Amino acid sequence: ERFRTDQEDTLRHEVVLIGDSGVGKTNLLSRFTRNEFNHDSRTTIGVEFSTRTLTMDGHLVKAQIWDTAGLERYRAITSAYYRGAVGALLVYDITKHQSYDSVDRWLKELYDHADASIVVMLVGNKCDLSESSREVPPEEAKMYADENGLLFLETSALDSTNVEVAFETILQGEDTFKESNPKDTPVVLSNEASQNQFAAPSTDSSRTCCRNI
Amino acid sequence: MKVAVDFEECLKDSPRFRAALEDVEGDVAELELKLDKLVKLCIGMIDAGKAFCTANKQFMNGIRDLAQYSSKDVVIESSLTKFSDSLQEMINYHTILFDQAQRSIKTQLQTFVKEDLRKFKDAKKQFEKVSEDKENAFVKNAQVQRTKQHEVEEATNILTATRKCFRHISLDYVLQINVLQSKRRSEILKSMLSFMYAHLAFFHQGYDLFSELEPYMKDLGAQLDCLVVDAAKEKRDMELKHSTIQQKDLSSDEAKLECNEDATNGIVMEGYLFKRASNAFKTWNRKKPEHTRRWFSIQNNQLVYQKKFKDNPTVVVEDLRLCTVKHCEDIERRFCFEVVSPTKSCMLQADSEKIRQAWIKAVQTSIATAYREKGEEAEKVDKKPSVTAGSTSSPEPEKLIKGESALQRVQCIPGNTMCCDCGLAEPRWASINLGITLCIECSGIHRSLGVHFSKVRSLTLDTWEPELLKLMCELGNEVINGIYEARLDKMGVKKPQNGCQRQEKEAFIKAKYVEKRFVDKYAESKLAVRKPSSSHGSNEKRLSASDKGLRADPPTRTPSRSSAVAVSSDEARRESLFCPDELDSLFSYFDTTSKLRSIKSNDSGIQFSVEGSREYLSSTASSNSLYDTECDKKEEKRDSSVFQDTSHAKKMLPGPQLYQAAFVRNLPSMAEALAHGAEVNWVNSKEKNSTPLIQAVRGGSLVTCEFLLQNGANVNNRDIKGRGPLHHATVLGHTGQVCLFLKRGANQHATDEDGKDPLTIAVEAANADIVTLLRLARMNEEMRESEGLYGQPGDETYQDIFRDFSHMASNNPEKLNRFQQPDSPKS
Repeated sequence: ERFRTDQEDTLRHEVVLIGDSGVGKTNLLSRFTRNEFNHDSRTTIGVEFSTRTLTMDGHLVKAQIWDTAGLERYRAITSAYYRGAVGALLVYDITKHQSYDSVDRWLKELYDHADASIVVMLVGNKCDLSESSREVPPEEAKMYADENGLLFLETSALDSTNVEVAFETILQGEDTFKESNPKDTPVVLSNEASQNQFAAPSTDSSRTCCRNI
Repeated sequence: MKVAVDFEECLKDSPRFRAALEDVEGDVAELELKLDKLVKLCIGMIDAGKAFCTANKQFMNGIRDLAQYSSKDVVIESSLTKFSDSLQEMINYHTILFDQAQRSIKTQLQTFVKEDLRKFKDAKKQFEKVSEDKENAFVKNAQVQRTKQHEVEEATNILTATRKCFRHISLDYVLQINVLQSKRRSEILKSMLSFMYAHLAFFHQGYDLFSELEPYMKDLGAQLDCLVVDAAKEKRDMELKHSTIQQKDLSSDEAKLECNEDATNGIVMEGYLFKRASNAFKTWNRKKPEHTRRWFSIQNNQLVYQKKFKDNPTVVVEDLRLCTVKHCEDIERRFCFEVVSPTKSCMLQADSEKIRQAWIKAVQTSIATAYREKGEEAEKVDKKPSVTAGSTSSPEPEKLIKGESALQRVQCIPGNTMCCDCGLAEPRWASINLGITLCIECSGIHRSLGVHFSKVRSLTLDTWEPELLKLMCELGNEVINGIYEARLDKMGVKKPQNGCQRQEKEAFIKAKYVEKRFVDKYAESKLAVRKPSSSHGSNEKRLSASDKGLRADPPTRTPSRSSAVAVSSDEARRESLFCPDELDSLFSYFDTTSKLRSIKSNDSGIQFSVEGSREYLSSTASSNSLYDTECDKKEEKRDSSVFQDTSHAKKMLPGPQLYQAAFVRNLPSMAEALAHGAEVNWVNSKEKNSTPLIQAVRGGSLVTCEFLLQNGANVNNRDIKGRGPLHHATVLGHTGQVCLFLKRGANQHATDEDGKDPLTIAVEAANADIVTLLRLARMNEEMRESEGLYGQPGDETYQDIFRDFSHMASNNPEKLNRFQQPDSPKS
């Protein structure tokens, strides 16, 4: 345990990763916790755990990430792991609209079992892939996120885009979220993120959006 | 009476008279001055006196106040009140005195000065005027010429008249003077006397008052002497104590700690301890320290702590009887100990080793005392709603089956309505490894035997894990007494009755369970004929029983006379395990009255798949798969011959009996084997060093595993292939068993001969539930190692998930079988 310090100062935050099979949850996790990417990672069975300790506002935070199986038949029967989670990354694949369609279902599952105060971030993964293969425009997802009070980011576990930001936001979001106005925070964060990260491709994406329609 | 001015002289109006008058007049003027001064002084004195009285009154009120404040000290209060009353009285006397002074001196003398002296002055003026008139008349008379007869006559007349008048007035004046002279004496004396009498009265009243008070004062004086003596003595004692404590303190450098068992205030032990925050995992509040120093005490059979004196104490342990206390050495902090109750544990840290020992001893003593004394009170206790239990227990969505229901369910089992050892009605305690119910006294004796003989739990106060409750429902007093009291009658030993001496019970219980004196070691298993299979037994039961006999029981494959006996007896055993009333109790245990009704009325096979029997059915399936996938026929035959040999000798050796019974999940037979001395970790060298526990895994029963574990089976004993119970359960996809073994501390890092640990196997089999359980346990383990998360069985999520699985395994096993069916090919 490299990050081991005086335990009295360390906070533990549980974050769950959910979303359809194959959207890259396990790689997001490995990128964040071990800075690794596995091109042919196998489907997750049950749950996997990983932890990473980071410093936030001068406090040590031990992030404990629960990576869950996307395939129904590989999901554990219990839903208890939602209970302790302070945040959730709901991941879809921007090149698979079907995975984005499932977001509703995942959100319902989450709210059925998780604490009501859980902070949820909608994460469109695989944003490194060419715009031509994109099936979910960020505006659409952003709007959905705003409507449902979710944070929103597009990430790439492959080239590391926004992976740190996504996890750190969800880990921090918990505190700022609870202390300040719960409505504004996610919007601001998502605005910021989209402005910073998608300034350039936003025009392209609007085109793809039209094309899709 | 002395005359100041002579009347005769007055008529003569001689110079002597005039001199006398002058004397008197001067004297009176002087007197007036003196009296005026005296009155003024008197007024001053009265005013001062009144001020004194006011001040005195205030002082007295101060005393009254002090008396009221000292209401707790009777002596002080009563004496002060009495004194202040007396002083009040004295103030009243004083007031009277000054009133008197005012009246006697001020008023009286003032009147004298103002009236009598004024009268005198008026008289004097008159006299002086008439005197002058007379002089003038004399002068005129002298001046009259002889010739003027008329004038002479007139002057003579005037002179005569004036002289007459003068005489009259001067006589009056002299009278006045003389009266005044005498009156002033009397007036002065009178007022002084009355003033003095006022004083006399004052002092007399005061004397009376204090004479009356005197005995009390004397009494108080005596008391005071005693007090002084006592105080001196106390002071000496205190000094002595002070010095001894100082010495002690210097030598030990620690606070004094004593366990006071007979404390009248109910506080057996108290002192400061560090308490580890129980929500260590989720301490969002950054400022909150994880270890807090609190004032703990053991009182009324509870362990409580408080922050401030005014705070209501927080209850850490509601009932010490349900607890154990142990040292904790495997953590960073020193002097730690843990109080473990069924629902949670609390990590406490003392300031030193000595204090820790003292606390541990105190907790243990209280546990023992609570057992001795509390007795039937327990029943009252469990009726009352639980008090805020430390507020630390995690939110339990489905509270473990607790209290009344556990009691009700266990009581349905034959024999369980009376204490297994003394027959006392309504036993509220249980021995979980024996599967019996006990009265409080016998439970105490059981506890004293040690946990390797008997593990005692409360049916009403403890929280019951579902598998434990199931275990209780599989055995019962009747079954166990059939084993442990088999030879009782033959030996002519009388069972202790209710009302027996504790020693008598103790001796019996020791003979029964420790020496196993009444166990019939040479008799054939009576369990086979324990209960005739009833005629209204449902079809499914027969079906399953015969199913069992045909497919899973090795002996049927090699028919012989003796094995046939074994089969039939085995079948009877299976039957007996599900005899109707037990079934009922089993079902009532699951509290599914509607289901029970449907079973009774419907009698269809599907409904029967509830609970216990469900487990049995699934176990049949898995045992099939086991034999089809794992063992070849040869092995089977060899196995069966083992049992056959023993059964041929009319009696199986206890080890093999336990081994076999574990597989066919015959708990009574297992209990019997254990009573006959079976080694719970017996190794079957003829079958790859398998153990009863591994056989229980193969048999697919959760309760059987729990029974073996409760009786000391090692959860990590492995067979020749390096596979322990956890391996086997994982291979077979028995999620409930995996959950149980992990809860009971199974090592999941052990690899089998292929180098595979259970997780690898589970991942290969894609059994999401088992993978989840294994990974979760692994994570928890790592967390405990890295963070020294002592004192907690795991974080909340971990506990939640394991609780979830335990419940499913016991109550809805079909939910956990979803990975079993496709992965275990059927024959």
